[in-house]
Amino acid sequence: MEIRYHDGNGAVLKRLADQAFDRKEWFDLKTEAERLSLTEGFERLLSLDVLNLELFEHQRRAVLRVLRELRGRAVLADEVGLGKTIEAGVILKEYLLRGLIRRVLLLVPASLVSQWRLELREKLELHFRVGRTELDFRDGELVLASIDTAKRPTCSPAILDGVWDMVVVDEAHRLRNQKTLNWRFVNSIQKKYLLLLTATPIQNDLRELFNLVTLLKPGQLKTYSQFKRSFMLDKHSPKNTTQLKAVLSEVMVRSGRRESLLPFPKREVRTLQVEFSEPERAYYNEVLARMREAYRSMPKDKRNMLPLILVMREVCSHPTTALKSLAAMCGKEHLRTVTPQTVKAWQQSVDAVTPAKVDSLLTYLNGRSDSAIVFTEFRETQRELLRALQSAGYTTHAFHGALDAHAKDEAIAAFRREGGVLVSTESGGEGRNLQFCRTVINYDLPWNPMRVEQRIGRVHRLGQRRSVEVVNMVLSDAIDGYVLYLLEKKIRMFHRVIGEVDEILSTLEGSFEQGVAEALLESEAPDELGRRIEAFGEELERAYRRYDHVRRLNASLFESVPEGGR
Amino acid sequence: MSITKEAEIEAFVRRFLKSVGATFVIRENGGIKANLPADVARLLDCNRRLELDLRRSDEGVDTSTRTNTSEFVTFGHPLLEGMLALAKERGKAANLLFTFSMEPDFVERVMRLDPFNGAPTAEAKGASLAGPLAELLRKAQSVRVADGHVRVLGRRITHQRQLLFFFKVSMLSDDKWESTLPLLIDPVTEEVDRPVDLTGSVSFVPHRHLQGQRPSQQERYTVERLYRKACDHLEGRLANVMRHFELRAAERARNERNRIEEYYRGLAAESLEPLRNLFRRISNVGTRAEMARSWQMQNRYQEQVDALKEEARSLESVYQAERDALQREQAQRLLEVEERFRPRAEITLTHAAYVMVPRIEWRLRIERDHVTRETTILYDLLRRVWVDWVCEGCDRRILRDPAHLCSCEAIVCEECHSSCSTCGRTTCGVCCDERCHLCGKTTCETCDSACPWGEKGFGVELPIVCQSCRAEWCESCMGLGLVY
Repeated sequence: MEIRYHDGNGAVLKRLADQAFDRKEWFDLKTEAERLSLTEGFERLLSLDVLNLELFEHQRRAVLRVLRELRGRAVLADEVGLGKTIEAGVILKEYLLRGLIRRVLLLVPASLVSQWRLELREKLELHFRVGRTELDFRDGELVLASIDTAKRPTCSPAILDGVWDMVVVDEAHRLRNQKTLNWRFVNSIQKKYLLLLTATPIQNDLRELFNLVTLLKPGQLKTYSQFKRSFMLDKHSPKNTTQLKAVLSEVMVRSGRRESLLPFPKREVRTLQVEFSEPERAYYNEVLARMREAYRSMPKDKRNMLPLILVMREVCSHPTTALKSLAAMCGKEHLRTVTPQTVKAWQQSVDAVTPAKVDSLLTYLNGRSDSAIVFTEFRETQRELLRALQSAGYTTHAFHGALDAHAKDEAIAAFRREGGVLVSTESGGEGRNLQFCRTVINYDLPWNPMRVEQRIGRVHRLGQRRSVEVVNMVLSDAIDGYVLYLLEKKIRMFHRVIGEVDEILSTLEGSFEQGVAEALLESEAPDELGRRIEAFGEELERAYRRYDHVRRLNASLFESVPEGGR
Repeated sequence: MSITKEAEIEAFVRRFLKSVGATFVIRENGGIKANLPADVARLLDCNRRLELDLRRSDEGVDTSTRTNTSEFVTFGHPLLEGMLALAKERGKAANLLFTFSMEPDFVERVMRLDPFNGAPTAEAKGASLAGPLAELLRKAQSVRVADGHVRVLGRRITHQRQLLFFFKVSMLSDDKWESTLPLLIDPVTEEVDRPVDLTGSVSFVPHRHLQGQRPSQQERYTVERLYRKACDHLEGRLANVMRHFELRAAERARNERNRIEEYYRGLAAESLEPLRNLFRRISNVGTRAEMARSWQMQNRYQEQVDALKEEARSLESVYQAERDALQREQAQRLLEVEERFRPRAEITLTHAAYVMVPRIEWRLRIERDHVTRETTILYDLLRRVWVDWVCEGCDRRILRDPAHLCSCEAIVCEECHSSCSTCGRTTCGVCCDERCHLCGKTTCETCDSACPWGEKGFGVELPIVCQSCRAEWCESCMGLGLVY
């Protein structure tokens, strides 16, 4: 075995020969410190000591199995919602703590980059650099990037030239095709350890499973022809499943929801339908008409929906919230009909009445002793709500992205201590653990379902002992109502486990937000809007059915692939 | 985290606080309230006033008394990490003096003792004698000389300097194993001595005029040489563990390599399959061409053969490109395996110390008949063993049977001691290694006799023969020689 003596040994000898002695207590303390800092084998998870982190039994078993038996090359195929991210993070941390890895490349879908970064930082104290340029990949030790960025010609040489100690690929079912650039790119990376994360290793064809496993451990399933002969009846149906499961168990860790026996808290979902007051309805209709007009006036190939959608979301949130944006947009191309005078007129009309949603919120909170979190997307709405709640005598706490880390901690601590109502913007939906509260009120609904999920996920998570109450406030006949209809009726979002919605929506051609926005802005009349929403709903249903089919297929094949430690 | 680990952290934090001169109180819940010196607080980048919780486990801990301001300190907490780093930064070298049994009473009694002759003295039998002194007297029973007398000429208490090296050993492959290993080296024997419990030692700072002096070349050489010896011992001691670690890594690597090689062999065979099929077709069409019943048919088949051959050529280049790509990929995979399972060890000397081991030195005169020998032996008070009471013939420690004083004045053990079979003179392995080639008994220098054949000038190496064997066998041996 190659034996290397540390370069610093000479310095210690020199100190001894020079009689540069320390006191005995320091000598003893050093002995103790060296002993305490020793890296242990994989008998124990060091990261649990280092971090304030609790793992569920299935997660602990999975992590230990990857470390001890699969030796850092595994497909983490837990069902959605069982915490694959944490498992991968802990495995990563264990290797880092033992000094077995130094350079790590984490490849995730573009939409999840910031979420991964946040989770790794908050929960595992791992500070990943987001890889955007060649330099990031060449110099970085812990690099997080979307696979699309990584495989760009500007970045890929830097990745492929170097040796990575560990590569982690999230949503690894995207590597199901051996002929794609994604597969070939990940295959070409020089890596010691590889973790592939996917809840559905098979989407449709058993070859996808073969490709995934071959990427991880070439030869584990022999060549494709041999795999086909041994394990495939046809491309959808496996044979010799017992044998196949045994072979898969050498590379795959999977926990099902049933086996994990996790106490997922119940969800009680309520909808507070709010009727517009007359001035509000008139205001909403007028703004909508202006936005549609602006949309239609844009050239088809240069349509920028974003500002228009933003205004519509603001109108649904709080009447005054949209006024600022409208004032800023006055006179802009395509919005010439919105003038300072019209904005002023709208302001006067909405100032005269208390918004119906605010009234409804106060009515709902009246007499409740439990604390509640009210989520809104907008700072302006947050200010209005805080004002209204304070004047109604509620203890309020504000939480938003402009607070520094200390102020954020303080706000959460005060909410925990004093109870009352926490009015939070979207930043409160990320990374914070608010399990001590059980009520989430979506004062306005983001059009991105993942954001809704993140909000609910703050309180509805493993470890929450009480049932969780989710209250959605929507305005009848406004777009909010349609968004809720799609989420609730078409994909049953509020009854799903965190993560499932993403799986469903990932098979859509466009984004959910875009689908809703197009329906809203392109429709001429309420009837047409209804029809288009219904059509989009059917598309969502198909996506849901596809997801359900894939889930069942995977469950049937991997049912008894062992979890860790068995 | 295990309770044991928590307890270890707690003990470390307390010792650390004590070492840096912090004032602290231990609360009922196991937490610590401390006031750090300003410089230490600065080094640790924390407040001077600290409230620490060191136990996470709720069992047996009254968490109700925890305050909001107290922090749970464990691995990864900046404070503990800071303490560990500071502790590691210091204490790299020390001079440790054992004051074990250095009480005046003990010293006085030792100075009056004559433990080597006869039964223990009345004082030694006294009930007041226990512990180290009783042990010394008991062990002194092994310092005896058969038919001889041991006289004590003088005694004194000395300190022998040994070198203590603390090593951290890390073994890495796709796994990691780490351990710390202290090695205490005796500068005289350059061997590893039995470890001692350092709790009984105190820091010993050399006299002021020695401090800051440049160490002599010899001192540096000694330290360096003993360090190298310690490294040799360390490697010897770790050989088994390393071999075991290496074997396990090699086995895992072999499995991986086999799997990869088999896979790529399979792929290569599969990629050859289309070409093989094509050759089969060429062969079939060629046969048809040969068996054609008309020129036209033969030409048609021949054209097909030519086209197929052309196709084969292009397919072959595709195959070659594919094979090269596969080979490159396989080489990369194998390289990854190589890198992942490559076993290596890293040895770090974390800290080292001079250890001053207390010893009693006895100057003895050993007498037997007319032979006299003066010698010095040492009694190691820490390990409670005689240090220099070793056989000069075989270098082994003399433990049970009495030693022998040879005529050559060597002190030898029972096994190395013997007497001449002819004259009966005491001999030993040091002064005499001649043995009769017939009976195997020791034959001393003055009595040894060469083989009479040698005397005849045959030029062979002369074997030794004792007087009695010579008388009994040599005549007939010579006689036989003359016959043949």
